[in-house]
Amino acid sequence: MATSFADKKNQYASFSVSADGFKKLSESIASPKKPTEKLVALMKGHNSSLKK
Amino acid sequence: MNNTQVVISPITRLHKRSSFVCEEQRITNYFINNARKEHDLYKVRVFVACEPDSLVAIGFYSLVITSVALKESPEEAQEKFERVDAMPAIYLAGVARHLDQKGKGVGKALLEDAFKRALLISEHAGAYALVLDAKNEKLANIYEGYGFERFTDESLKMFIALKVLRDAAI
Repeated sequence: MATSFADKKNQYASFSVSADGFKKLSESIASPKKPTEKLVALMKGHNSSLKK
Repeated sequence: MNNTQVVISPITRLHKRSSFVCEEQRITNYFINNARKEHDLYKVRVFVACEPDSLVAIGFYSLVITSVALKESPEEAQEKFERVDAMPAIYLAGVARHLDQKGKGVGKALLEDAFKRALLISEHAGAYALVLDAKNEKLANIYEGYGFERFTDESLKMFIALKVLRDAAI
């Protein structure tokens, strides 16, 4: 399980995407999809030690 | 196989990181050599997974506030998005678990903690989405299973609206 790291020059400040990608994000924010069963199971799990 | 129980907490100098190794040498090096320094500078915030009563790191993830920006801002795109050319988001900058922990649920525990922490952050600072760069196609498929979407079909850059995480947590 890994994500890669931001370009050093970018310094994490921005996450650049194409116009199509930006549109897809905009649409997903406006009309969020139903969570997948896998996500629901994860979020209802008790692995997290995060204290609110 | 039983899942490894984990405790996840912000990185400190007490965490034992020198024996950490994951699939990606660059990420291993980052975690051992730079993660705490960047955490202390508030450049990123790094959270470390250990087994209960242990300070030996078996996984970590890091979060950064970011903005999703249009790569280019042609007039047409600006018109399309009503001059919005950036959106606030939270960047899951790195997730990795120790090689020995493969298949023991540490990755899932890290994701659960990261997703819940992203929701907590969004209660204090505006953010629409959680974004990440999947390391490879196999991992991108795993993230898709959790509902992440690719920005474009071939892209390993992915996002999930925080509303989706919020709905999943109810």
